[in-house]
Amino acid sequence: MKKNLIYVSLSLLLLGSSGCEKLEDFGDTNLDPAATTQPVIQALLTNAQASIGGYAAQTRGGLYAQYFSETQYTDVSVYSTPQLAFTGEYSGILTDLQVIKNVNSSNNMTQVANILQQYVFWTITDRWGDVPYSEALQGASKTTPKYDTQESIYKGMIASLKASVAAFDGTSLVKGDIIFTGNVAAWKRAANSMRMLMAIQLSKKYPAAGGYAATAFNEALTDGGGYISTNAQNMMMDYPGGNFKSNWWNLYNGRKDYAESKTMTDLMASLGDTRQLAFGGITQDQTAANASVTSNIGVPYGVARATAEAFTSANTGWARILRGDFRTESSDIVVISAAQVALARAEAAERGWTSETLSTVYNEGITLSYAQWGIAVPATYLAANAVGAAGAAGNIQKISTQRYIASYPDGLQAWNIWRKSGFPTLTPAPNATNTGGQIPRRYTYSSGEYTSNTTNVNAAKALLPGGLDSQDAKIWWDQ
Amino acid sequence: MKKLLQSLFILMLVASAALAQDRTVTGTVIAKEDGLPLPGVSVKVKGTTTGTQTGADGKFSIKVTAASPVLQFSFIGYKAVEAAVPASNKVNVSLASDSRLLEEVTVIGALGSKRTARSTTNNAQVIDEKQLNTIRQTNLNNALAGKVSGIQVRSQSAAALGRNTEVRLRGVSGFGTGTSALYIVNGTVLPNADDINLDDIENVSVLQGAAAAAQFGSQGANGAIIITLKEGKSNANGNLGVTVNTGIQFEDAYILPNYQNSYAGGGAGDLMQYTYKAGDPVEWQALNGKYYRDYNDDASWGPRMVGQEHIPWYAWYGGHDRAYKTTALNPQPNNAKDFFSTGITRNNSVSLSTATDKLKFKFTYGNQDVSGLLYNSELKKNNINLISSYKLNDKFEVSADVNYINQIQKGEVDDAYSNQSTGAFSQWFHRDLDMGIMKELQGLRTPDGVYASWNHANPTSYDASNPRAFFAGNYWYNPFTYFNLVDIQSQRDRLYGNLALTYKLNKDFKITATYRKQQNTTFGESKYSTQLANSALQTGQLGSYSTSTSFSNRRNLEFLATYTKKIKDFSIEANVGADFFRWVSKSNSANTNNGLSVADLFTIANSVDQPSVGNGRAEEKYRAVLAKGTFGYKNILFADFTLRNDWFSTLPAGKNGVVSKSFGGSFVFGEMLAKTLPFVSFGKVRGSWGEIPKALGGSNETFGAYRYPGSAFGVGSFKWGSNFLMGAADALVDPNIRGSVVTQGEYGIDLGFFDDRLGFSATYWEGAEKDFPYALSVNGASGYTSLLTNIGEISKSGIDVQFNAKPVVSANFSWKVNATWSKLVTNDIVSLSPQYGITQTAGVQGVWGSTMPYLVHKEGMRWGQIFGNGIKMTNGQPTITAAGAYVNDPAKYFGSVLPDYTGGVQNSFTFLKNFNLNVNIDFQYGGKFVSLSNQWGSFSGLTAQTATYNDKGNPIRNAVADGGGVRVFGVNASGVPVNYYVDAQEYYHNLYYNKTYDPYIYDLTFVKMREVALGYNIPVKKLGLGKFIQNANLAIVARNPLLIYATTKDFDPSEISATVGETAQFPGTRGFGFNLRVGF
Repeated sequence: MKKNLIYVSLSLLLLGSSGCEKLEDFGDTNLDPAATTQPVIQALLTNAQASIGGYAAQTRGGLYAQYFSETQYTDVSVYSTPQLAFTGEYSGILTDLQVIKNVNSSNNMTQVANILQQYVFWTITDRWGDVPYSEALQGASKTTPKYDTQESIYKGMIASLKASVAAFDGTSLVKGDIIFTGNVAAWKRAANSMRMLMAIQLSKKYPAAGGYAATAFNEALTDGGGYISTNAQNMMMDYPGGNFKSNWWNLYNGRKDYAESKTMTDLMASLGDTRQLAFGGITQDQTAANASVTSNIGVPYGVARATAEAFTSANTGWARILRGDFRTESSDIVVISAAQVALARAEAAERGWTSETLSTVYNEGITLSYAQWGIAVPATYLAANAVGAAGAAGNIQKISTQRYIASYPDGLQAWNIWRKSGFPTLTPAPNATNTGGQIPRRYTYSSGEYTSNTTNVNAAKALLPGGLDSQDAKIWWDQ
Repeated sequence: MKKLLQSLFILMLVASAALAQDRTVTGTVIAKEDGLPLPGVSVKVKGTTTGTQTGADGKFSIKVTAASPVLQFSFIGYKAVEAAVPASNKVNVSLASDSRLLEEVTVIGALGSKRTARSTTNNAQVIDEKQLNTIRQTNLNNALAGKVSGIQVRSQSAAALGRNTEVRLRGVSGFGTGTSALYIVNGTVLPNADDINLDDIENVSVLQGAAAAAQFGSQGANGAIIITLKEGKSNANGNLGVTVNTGIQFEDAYILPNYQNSYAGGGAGDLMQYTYKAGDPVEWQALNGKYYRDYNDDASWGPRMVGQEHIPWYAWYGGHDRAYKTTALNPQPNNAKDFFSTGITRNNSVSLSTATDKLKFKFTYGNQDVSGLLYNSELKKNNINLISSYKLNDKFEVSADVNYINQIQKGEVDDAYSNQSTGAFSQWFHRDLDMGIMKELQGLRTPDGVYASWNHANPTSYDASNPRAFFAGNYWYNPFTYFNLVDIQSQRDRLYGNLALTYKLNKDFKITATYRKQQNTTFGESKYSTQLANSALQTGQLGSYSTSTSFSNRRNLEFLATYTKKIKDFSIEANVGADFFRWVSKSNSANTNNGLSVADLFTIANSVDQPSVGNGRAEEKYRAVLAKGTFGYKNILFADFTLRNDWFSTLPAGKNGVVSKSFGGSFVFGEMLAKTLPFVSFGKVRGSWGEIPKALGGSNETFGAYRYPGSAFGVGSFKWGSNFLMGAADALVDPNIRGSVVTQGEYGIDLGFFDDRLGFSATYWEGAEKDFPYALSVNGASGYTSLLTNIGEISKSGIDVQFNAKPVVSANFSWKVNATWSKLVTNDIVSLSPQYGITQTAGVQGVWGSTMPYLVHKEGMRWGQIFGNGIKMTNGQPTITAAGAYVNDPAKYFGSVLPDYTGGVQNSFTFLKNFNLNVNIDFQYGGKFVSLSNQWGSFSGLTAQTATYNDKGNPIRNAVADGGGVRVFGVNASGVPVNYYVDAQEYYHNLYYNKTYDPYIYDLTFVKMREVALGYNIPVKKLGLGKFIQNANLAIVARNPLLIYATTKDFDPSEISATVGETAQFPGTRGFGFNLRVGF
C-alpha cells in the first residue's frame, strides 16, 4: 500500500522530467480563434473604401481655405502648428489596398486598389509635400522608406493611373466595391479624371502647352475610357447610414465646432451664387423643424475663442456646414465630381493646353455644379460671372474661384486651388498665432517621423525652402 | 510562521502530557517592551518533555515533579528565558523581543515550497501583520508604502473607488509603462492586490530581483510580493478563538489644484446687461436691466468678482425659490472640494480559528462597505477565507485554502479629460458656482424635461420656438444631475486557493500534490439615461446601455518532492517539482450605438443603430519543472540554487522551452564575533544572482497568447450594406520571436548591534534585462506600424537599505523606529534596436495624445522619459517671438518619470502601558509627471496662476495697455534678451497653440505622513470582562493625514493616476477613523 502510493506520487512527479517532447507540445493552443491568416480581398476593398469619403470631408484643409470657421476652439483657424502624422494612412487604407494588389487574384480588383491608392497618395503629398512613395508599403523589408520628391510622386501617380486604366480586362470581377459596384468603366473614368486634376495642379511647374502637365492632361482627356462628365458618373460615397454615416453628419453628432465661414458666405453673396442655399444650414439638429433651412450667416474666420463664442451666441442661426438635408446619416459625399473635371478642363483650355472651347467647358462646369446640388442656375449667373476669351485678364481668377466653389465642401481641393492660384483672395486669420501670421502652406512632419525615419525625414526637410519643416514652407507645386 | 511553530509546540505537548506530577507552578508572562501579557508562550520544564503554553492573559499553570525545577520560556520573536521555581510556586517573567529570531520566519515559495529567512542569500524583507495593518488599510499596496526598501508604491486617490494601485520593485523593466509586481497568496498567483483581505495576512515578504524570484519563472521577472495567510490556531484556553475586527473611516477631499478666486465664469471680461425682449419668458421681466456674466463659455475668464449684483445661472429657470432673483457675484473657493462627499469605509471581519493535533481550521468572513467620495459611488465587498488542514494519519495530510471574494461596485469612476467631476472642476468650470445650490437644484427641470445646467446659453440667444437650446447645458451638466442619471455597476466574483495532499515518506522526505485555481467571473453594465441627451447640446451623453461578462480560469497542477536532512554539520533542503498551468479566458460584451430607441429602456436590442458585440477568447499553457535547494554548514554558511525550465504554448513551437536559474551564498558570522565584538549581535553577508527568461506577455496576467505568429485578419463588426469588412494587420511579427531575459545579482550585509537594539541592512544590486519582445514601432509608411521582435537592453542598479532601532525600551515607554531607503542608481536604456536603427520608442503613454509631452524610452537615457513639445531654448533661455509667445521645440526631454529614491520611516511608541502610537511616513524624490488638468485649467482661466499680479503690481488680467499682462522673459531668435507683457488669456492660450508645455511638467517628489494610529489596549480583565473577552484594542487612525512636502501643491504626487501624468486627477484625500478589535 505504502509503496504503491510512493510509486504513484513519484510517477506523477516524473511526468514532468521524463516526457520532454510531451511537455513542449501544445497542439493548437496558440491558434487565435478570432482571426484568420487568409485575407478576403473583397472585404479589404470594402474596408478601404469605407474611409475614402473622409478624404473629401477634411475640415483642416477647408479651414485653411476658409470654407469653414471654428466656432469655439479656434486652434486650426488661428494656425496652431499642424504637426500631423501621415503614417496611419499608410498602415491603414493603403496597406489594405496593397494586400489586394499583392494577392492579385482578380486583375480588375488590383487596378481598382491601385487607383484608390493613387488617390490617397495624392491627398497625402498635397498636405505634406515630399513623403514616402516608391519605397512605401513594403513591410519588414523597408521599415524606413525613403521620401520621394513631390515631383516624382506626381509623375508616379499619373503614370500609375494611366497604367491601371490600360490594364483593366473585360472579365475579372470587382467585388466588395461600394463606390462603383464593380463597374470597370466608371473606374476608368475616375482614374482619368484624377489624372486631369493632378496634371492641372502642376500648372505652376509646367505651364507650357506642350509641357509635361499639359501632355498628361491631354492623355487623360483623350483616353478612350473617358472621364467623369455627368453628375451620375461622380465618384462618391453613398453612405448607408446606421454604423456607416456620412462624415458631415458625424461632425455635428452632438457638437457644433465648425461653421461655414463668413469668407465663404461673403464670396457667395458677392457673386449672387445661389449654391449657398445648399452650403449653409441653420441648425445641426436633424430632428428640428428647420433642419432643412438655409443659413447665410457665415462665422467670422480666424478669430479668438471668445470672439467666436460671442458671435455664435448672438447669432444662433449661424451657418452650419451644409444644409441639413445634405447632411443626413446617409447623405452622399462626392469625391470627384463632373463639375470639378469640367472646370479643370476650363483651366486647361485657358492655359492653352487643350483646344476645348473655354466658355463652353467653363459654363458646363458651373451648370454641373449647380445641378449637383439640385439648384437651378440663376438666369443671370453665367453672364455675370462669364470668362473672357482665352488668355483674358481675370480668367484664372474666375476659373479658380469657380473651381473653389464647385469643390465645396472638399476642403483639401479648395486649399490646393488657393495655394496654386492665390484665388479666391484670402485674408489670413486676424488672430493668427503662428510666427508669420500667414495661411499654412503644408502640414509639418510629425515628431514620430523624426524618431522612426530620421535620416529620410531629415533629407526631405533639407529639400524644403530654407531647410525648415515649417507650415509656411511651400511644397513643390506651390513654389 | 510564528503561529505554525506555536501550533507544533502544542501538538508536541499534547502528546507528552501524561506524566505524573507533584506541584503546580503558576505565573504570568509579559512582554518587556509594553508590559502586556503574552499569550502562546511555550513553558517547558528543563530537562523534561513537560510543557504548556500561556493563555490569552499571559498566565500559565504547569505541574512539575523535579526537586529544583527550572522553567524555560520561549516564544518566537522573543529571547528565551530560564527561571528557577521558587518555593512560592509562582514564576513571573518578562520576555524581551529578539529581532534575530525573526529569521525563523518562513516564506512560502513556488509550488508551496518553504524556507527560513536566516538562510536566504537575498535581501529578505518580511513585514509582519502588525506593521502592515497599522491603520487597517483596505489596500495592501498602500499598506506597504515606505515599509519595504526598494519599492515604489503608486497609490490612487480614494475617490477612484476600486482602482488598482501598483508597486514597482527595484525600478521598472520593459518598454511599456512598467509592469507591477506579482502577488502570490499562499502559493497562488493573483494579478493584483485587490482581492486580498489584510485581516487574513500573517506576513508579507517581498522578493526582489531575479535571484529571489527565479523559482516563479517568467511571471516572477518583475519580482513578487509573497503573502502568507494566517492559519488556524486555538485561543489561549485551547478553544475556538473568535476575533471580531470592526472599523470605520471617513475620507475627505484634501488636495486639489489651486484655483483662482478672483474672476467669474465665461469668456468675456465684463458683465452683460439683460434686456427683456418679446418672446422671452414673462418671468424674465423681473431680470430686465440686470447684469449677467457669460454662462455659455465654460472657461473662467469672466469679470472680477467683487460681490456685485448679477443674475446667477439658475435664476433663468422657474420652479424653485431662487428663480428670477439676482445675487451677489462672489468666488466659491471650495466649490470643487464641496462636490465630493465624505467617503465612508466600514470594514468588519470575524474570524474563527482553532487547532488540534489533527485539524487546523480558520475561517474569516470580512465585509467592506464603502460609500465613495464621488457622488453615487459605492463598493461592497465580501471576503471569505477558509484555511484548513487535516492529518489523516502520520503520513497523510490534506489541506485546503479557499478564498472567495465578491465585490459589487457602483458609480462612474472616471478621471479622464472632460469627465463630469474633476474634468469640469479643474479644466472647464466657473469659479463662482456655489456647489451647495448646485446640489439643491440637482432635480430642477424645465417643463420640457430639460435638466438645468450652470452651462446654459446666454439670454440673447433665447428662442421661444426652441427653448431647449437655451436651457440645456452647452457642454456640461449639473454634476449632481449627471451622476444621478448614470448607473454603472461592476461585479466580480473571485475564487482562489488550493487543495493539497501531502505524503510523508519518512521524516526527511515528503511529496505534495497541489491543485490551484484562480477563477474570476465578472459582470458589468452601464446605463446612461436618455434624459442626458435631452439636457445637453454639444457634449451630451446619448442614452446607452452596455453589458459585459467575463470568465477567467487559471489552474495549476503541481507536484513537489521535498527532502530535508541534517547530517552532522551539514543541512540540505531540496525541492523538485513540476507545474502544469492552463489559463482559459472568455468574455462577451455588447453595447448600444447612437442612442436608445425607447427612452430609458436598457436593453441591447433597444439600440438605435446596430449594436456592437464582442467576444474574446484566450488560452495559454505552460509546463514547468523546478529544482531548488539550500545547503547549510553549521547553520552559518549557506548556498542555494534554483533551476526551472518552462515550456510555453505562446512561444514558437520547437523554441518554447526556457531555463530560469539562480545561485547564492550567505555567511552568518554574528555569533562568531560574540567574544571579540560583543556589541555585534548579528552579522550576515550574502550574495546571489539569478536569470529569468520572460514569455511574451506584457502584463502579469498573460504569457502573450496569439502574439506569435500574428499577422491575422479580423472581420469588422458591421456590414456596409451586404459587404463585410476586413482590415489588414498593422503588426509584423518576427518569426524568431522569443522571450526576454532578466538577470540580477545582489550583494548585501545584515548587521545587528547591542542585542539587536540597532539593526542595519544594506544591499547593492545590479541587473540587466535584454531582448524584450517588443512591438517595435516602425514607420507606418512601411505599411505596418509595429514589428514584434526582440530588442533592447535595460541596465539597472540600486541600493536598498533597512534600518531599525529601539532607542527607548522600558516598561512605561518604548520607542521603535524602522526606516527604509532605496536609491535607484541606474534604470537606463542601454540600447533599443541597433538592428533597425531605432533609438527611441514611439509614445508609450500620453495625457493628450502626442501633443502634450508623452512617455518614451530613449537609448542612453533613464527609463521613461517625458518627451515632446516644449519651449525652444536659445543659450539656455526661452526663445520668444516678437508677440511674446514662446517658440516651439517639438523634441524636448523633460526627464524621467522614475523617482531617484524612495523610502519611509515608521515610528512606534508604547506608553502608559496600554497605549501605542504609530506614525508612518514615506517619501520619494525625483521623477516627473505631466498635468493635463493644469494645462486646460490655465487655458480656461481656472488655475491660481491665471489670476496673479505682474511685476508692476497689477493683475495680469488687466489689459497690457493698462499695466496688466504676463511679463514674459526670454531671448529672441538671435539670442538677444527680450521681454514683453502679454495679455493673460493670450499667454495661456498660446502655451497650448504653440505647444510650449514646459509649465505643465511637475516633480513627483513628496514627503507624506501616510498612516497614524493611536491604539489603546482595553484592560478587559480590570473591567471584569475577562471571562468573555480575551483582549480588546481600540484605535483612532488617520490615513494620509498630512502631505508634508511636495513640489507641486496641486496634486498628491503619490497618487498620480498614470505613469506619465494625470488627465483630470481626482483629489488627494485625508481620512480619519476608528477601529475596534476584540478577541474572544
